[in-house]
Amino acid sequence: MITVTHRQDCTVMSFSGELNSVTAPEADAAIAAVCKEGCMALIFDFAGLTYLSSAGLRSILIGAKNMRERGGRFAVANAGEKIQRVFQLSGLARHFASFASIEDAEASFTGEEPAR
Amino acid sequence: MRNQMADLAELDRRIAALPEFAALSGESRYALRLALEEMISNVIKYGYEDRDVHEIGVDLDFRSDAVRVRLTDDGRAFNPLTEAKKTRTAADLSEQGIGGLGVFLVRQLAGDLKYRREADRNILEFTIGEAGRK
Repeated sequence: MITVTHRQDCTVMSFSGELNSVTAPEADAAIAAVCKEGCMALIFDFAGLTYLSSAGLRSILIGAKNMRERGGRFAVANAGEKIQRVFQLSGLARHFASFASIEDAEASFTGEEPAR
Repeated sequence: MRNQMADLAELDRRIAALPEFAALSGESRYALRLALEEMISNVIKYGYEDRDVHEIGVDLDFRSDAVRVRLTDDGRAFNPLTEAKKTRTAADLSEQGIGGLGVFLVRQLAGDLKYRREADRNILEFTIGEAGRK
């Protein structure tokens, strides 16, 4: 399940349960909608995410590419050990700055360098 | 199981209910579910040119420290050991490809990966667990 929260300076997409080949289409649609709204700072909040497969990774990656293309910023927050490991094994971890809280992720957006 | 996503979800539920599955480490449980989802969803999505129902064979051999997996399908020939070598992680996000992530993950997680094409069938075998770890 995906919950979208608009904060003052960014949008938070909170994922819970499993992001797999069955649920990825829902994530694709939700991420596309947030990008279409013109979101320029997006936090992928994985606090409630228990399982992530390549289908879900692809959804997140497409969202990140969209943000980058529009000059927006993005970051990951609250990824648990299992979720971190999938990011690392896939080699995609390098594209995502990962933070221990939404507040830390949000604070990273105020720096001069765009999040890598 | 049939080449349908609903059957993959049902397989996942059935495996989760097995006592042998519960006895695995948390890491192995995750790796087994992930490897099955990645390889089977690949076959369902890309394996067939027709819209017919096909049977995908899933054999699991739970051992004390590992699970030996064998997947059999009659889809088009696909050798994950050779065909997925193009997948690279790019230094820059804009250069990063979005395909082949699943097979790449399985190659990281599974040990002793073996593929053969036999009588118009793909037969893929691998091991998940401590013994199969690279």
